Amino acid sequence: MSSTTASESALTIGEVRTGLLGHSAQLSMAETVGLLDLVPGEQVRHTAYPRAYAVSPQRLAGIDCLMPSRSGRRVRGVGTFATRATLTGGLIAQSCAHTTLVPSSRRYRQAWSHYLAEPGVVECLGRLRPEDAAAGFAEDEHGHLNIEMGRTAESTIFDLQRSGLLDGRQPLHAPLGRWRWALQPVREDGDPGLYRLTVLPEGTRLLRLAVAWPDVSDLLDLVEDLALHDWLLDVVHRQIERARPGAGDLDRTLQHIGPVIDHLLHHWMPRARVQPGLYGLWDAFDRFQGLTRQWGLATDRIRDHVALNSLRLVRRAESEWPGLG
Amino acid sequence: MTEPELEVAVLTSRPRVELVPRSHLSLELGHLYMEDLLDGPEALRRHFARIGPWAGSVRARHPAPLRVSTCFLVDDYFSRLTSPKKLVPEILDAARDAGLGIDYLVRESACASAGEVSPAELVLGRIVSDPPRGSNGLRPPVHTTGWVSNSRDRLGPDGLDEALATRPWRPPEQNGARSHSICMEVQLWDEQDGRRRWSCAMLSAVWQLLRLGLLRHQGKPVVSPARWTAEYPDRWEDLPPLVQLADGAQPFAAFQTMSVLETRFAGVEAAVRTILDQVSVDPAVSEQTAAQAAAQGIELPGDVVGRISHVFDDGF
Repeated sequence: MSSTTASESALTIGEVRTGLLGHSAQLSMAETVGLLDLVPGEQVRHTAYPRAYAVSPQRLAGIDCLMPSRSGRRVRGVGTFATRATLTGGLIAQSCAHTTLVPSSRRYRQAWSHYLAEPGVVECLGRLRPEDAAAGFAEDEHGHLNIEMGRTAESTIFDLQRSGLLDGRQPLHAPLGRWRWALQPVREDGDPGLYRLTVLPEGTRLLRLAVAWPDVSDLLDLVEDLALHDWLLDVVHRQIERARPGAGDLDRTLQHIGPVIDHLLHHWMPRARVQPGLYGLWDAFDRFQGLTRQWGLATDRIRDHVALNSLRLVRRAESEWPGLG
Repeated sequence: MTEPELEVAVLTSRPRVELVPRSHLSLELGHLYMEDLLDGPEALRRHFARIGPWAGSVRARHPAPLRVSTCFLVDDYFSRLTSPKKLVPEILDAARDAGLGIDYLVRESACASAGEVSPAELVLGRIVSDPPRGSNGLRPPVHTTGWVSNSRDRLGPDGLDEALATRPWRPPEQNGARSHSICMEVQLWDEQDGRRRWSCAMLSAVWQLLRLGLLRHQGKPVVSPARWTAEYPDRWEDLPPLVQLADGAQPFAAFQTMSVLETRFAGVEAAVRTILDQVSVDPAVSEQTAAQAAAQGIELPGDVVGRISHVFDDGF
């Protein structure tokens, strides 16, 4: 939807939050459209295939502050960042705040309407070093972020959770997935590309990528898809841990594995909303992080666990009711 | 290895917005309060005689085939002292006597509510506050305060609060001021008997956006002209929000607007510009409008405020 294009010198940065709606069942498409109505009068885009998915219109926030930096460089930027929310499968909410940093053609701040004509773009009044800004935002644990996109992304999710459309009953406890990312253009000297994932102690993922791609909204789709699958894997791992397979506790299995089967497993659909030209990046990420391999192991484990428990039940029934066999 | 060529269906449909036909210019032939209109046909005649030369000059600058449509806004929002049955013919006659044709008549209350939709609410939802220096993205609560500003908040000493009273006076500071400041604080609404009453500045900002054809609700224009040929009704609400008065009029919406007003409106219009400076247009509508302009070879400023202009004249 955004008309923003990433040019040679542009750096696109953003934050994604992923979480589970506080609602006991999957929302219908009509309810989803009502939920994602962030800008009155503007349309929510949605699709049913290959799975239910909807995107809200983008909400803008104005900024006039220092830009992110690792070294503490003080470069002032003026413009807007955009925040959108998406709902996957009627239950998994994501919100993504993002902006593209570009050099300003002037050395002073212009009329505010000038910045609103380019939504989701921040013009830097000084010379931004993309390397320093990207590292400060999405690599260094103690970088200077300066822009509050994370809090906005989080409050967007919390606002969704407060909607009267929801019954407040989350099917399972799933913490928010936090991603902060910076996408730089590929360097002309043929640098094979930059890929750097840092996981902070509290779980936030910092991702830096070098990518040559003209449409920022395609890149948002890519990052959201990565964040979604990483979050799914994380939640499923936690649930398996809680179920304590091997302890033979059937109630725990039902309590923790049941909701995973009911609500999460079928949402694993890597690259479902990624442009084919960006598959390579998804695959490279997957190769490094082993998302698909881990997911295969986790789902096999869940199924084996469920099968084994069924066997145990059959055996128990046989011993209690010998006549049945 | 080469990858196979894949045709991928678009995952989510792009938002669909209806294209509105546009004139080159929407010319507003005055804007009067209900009280002004009560002074009778003579006052209206004086008004149109005053702005007649300006309208002529605008028309001369936009000769056919350039399209100009004219419009007139009647305030039926803040007071309703007379009926359309009496007033509308008076306005039309007075304009005709000055050689002016009015193509469209709009009720000001249409800016507050047009059928199911409140255009003013739509605009409020699109305001992105002008950030003072140091703003890092936490949204100022324009939707709760009802004020827009072009400057850094100033906490003036308040006699009731000793802590504040002892604080040294700090001058206001316009955002992005290059040397000196001109600070504007604009009220968007107040409450009257528990109901929101929009300010004249807010409704006038909505009015500009309607004339620019930039407002949509779920992709559809919020007001469309309705041709009226019957006798004018007794009650304003029986008149459509946007009435087309002349056959063959050029489209109501336009790429740019000009308003010819008396100087006493300069304050309101400065406030209108402050509001419009902070309205972010639906990107799908912006793109469509830019493409429409480009196809007609029209150079269109990217920002909304750049598309509106004013003439203030008291007829000396």
